[in-house]
Amino acid sequence: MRLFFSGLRKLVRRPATWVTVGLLIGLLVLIVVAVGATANNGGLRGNNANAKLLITFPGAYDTILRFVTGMGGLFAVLYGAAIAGSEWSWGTLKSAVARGESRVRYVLTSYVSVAVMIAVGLLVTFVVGVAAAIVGAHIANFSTSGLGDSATLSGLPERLLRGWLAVLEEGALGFTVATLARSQLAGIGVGLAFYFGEDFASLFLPDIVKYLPFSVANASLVTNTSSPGVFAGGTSALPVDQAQVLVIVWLVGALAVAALFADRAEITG
Amino acid sequence: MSGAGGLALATRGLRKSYGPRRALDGLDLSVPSGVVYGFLGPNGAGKTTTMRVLTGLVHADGGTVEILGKPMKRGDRHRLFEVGALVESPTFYPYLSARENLRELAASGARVSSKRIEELLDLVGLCERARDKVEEYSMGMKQRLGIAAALLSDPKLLLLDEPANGLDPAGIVAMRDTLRTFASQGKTVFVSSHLLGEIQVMADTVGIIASGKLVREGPLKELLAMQGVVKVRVQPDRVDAAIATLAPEFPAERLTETDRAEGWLSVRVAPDRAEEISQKLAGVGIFVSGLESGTDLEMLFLELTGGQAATDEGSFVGLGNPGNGGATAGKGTAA
Repeated sequence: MRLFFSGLRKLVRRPATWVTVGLLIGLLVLIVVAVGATANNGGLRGNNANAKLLITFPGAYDTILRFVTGMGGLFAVLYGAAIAGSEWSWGTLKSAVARGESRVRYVLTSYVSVAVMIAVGLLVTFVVGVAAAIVGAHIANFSTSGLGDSATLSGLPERLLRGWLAVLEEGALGFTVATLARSQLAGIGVGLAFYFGEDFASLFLPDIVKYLPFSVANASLVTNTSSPGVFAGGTSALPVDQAQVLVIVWLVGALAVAALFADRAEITG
Repeated sequence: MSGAGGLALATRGLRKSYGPRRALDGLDLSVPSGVVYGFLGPNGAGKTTTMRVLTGLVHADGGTVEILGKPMKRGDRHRLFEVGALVESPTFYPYLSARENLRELAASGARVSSKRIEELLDLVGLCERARDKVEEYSMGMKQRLGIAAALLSDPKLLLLDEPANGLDPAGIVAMRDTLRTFASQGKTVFVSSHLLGEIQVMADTVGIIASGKLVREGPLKELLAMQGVVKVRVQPDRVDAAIATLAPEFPAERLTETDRAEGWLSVRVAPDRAEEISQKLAGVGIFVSGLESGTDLEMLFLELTGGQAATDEGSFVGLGNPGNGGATAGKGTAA
């Protein structure tokens, strides 16, 4: 447990934690307030109705959650890569191993700490996003009567949990890539390449891409009110249940690879 | 705690290759308990690889390691709970303070009390800067913090790789005192360094490694007893006459003109023959204006490692070693 709490303390003190959450919150607040400010003056063209969903309750809950888990997934890749890569770049893993610490335990506990921080980050971002949506609704003179919609509110914990798992899986990929690369920058770069590469590959190989980590993460978040994604050529994303299982498979698989690599690696830096 | 024969650390036939390059080639080390053991070797000789193997950072291809009397096999990480190590450069979280870094490091491996952290910050003289972020530290301060980190769990065996790197002279003296005190408590210090002069004043026992093999090991005094040197200074225009006078008594390979312009000669003999040399020269009217005698670890080092360069800062280089150009005796080794 002391390793876990140490991991948490290190993450809380780490600038990357605050920068990542700050960026996510900043972006969300900026968008929501901008939507609120322009909702009634024709500033929202084209997807006017969709944009207004951001400040219309209870639909705003769903829109904000999708933003938090979608953009949060990308940020989680970067964050996971930064945390894992720095242990190699800074040589702090070396110090722990030389003290007799288990490499596998160290790596896995690091990610458990990351998982907790991601949970807190998503929750805080969601809460701030909802608050911003209320502000946006007031600016736009929209009703907030749907704020206490019990059906939506009762489903939120489960959706947040699913969103957390999906983001966690995406973060684990960044974490593993950086572990394999033994570098923050390489981890972040390759993690980003995978993130956007998978999106790009879905244009040509939808039947394969739908099983890949970022696609299954998205598919696992589909709800009754949102329609499942469709790839190029009309290929449907995986059903939610199947996607959720694959999210866990990717998560566990990625962490297993990271732990196995760390256990076998020669630490020479 | 030590093994049979009082060994704190022993390796037998240790082998390690990086691709085609053989870093360790059957290394046999025997480090007695309660000593400061100087581990010497030229660059690339395998010192750091040895440290990495001993701390479980890399896995040996073959051979055995015994730490504090018990074999350390792959994955047997608990043996390291009684070992403190500083391998290569010290590593820390730059955004944390010294105190926080020690606290987080203490979360891994053996348990450490918070009191111990404060003691160590005091020991390495970082109390006043303990709240500053490590990214603001100088190299010497990081090195001191690295030594504190190595001492964190009050180890019985301390492995230090170039611990004097970046330290100022006062820091080196303080570190030397700390390590001597540590050894006087029955604990063992295994220290690799390229500062041969530093090892000479600090170590009880030395091991010299070259090309991944141990070439000499033993108590420093015994090794140096066979490696004496007497340096005499005469009038520069009497150097040839002085050599001619001493030549019948001392073979040419033991007699070296080290600096003709300054009139320095070196004779590789036991230090207690300095008076005899002075008398012989005086007997033919050559009077000695300077005399130094002692033993020289560096000479032994160069001889055993085939003259491979060791960048010994501030010490004279290769006295009497063929091919070194007869460098000036800038720093004496007076006994």
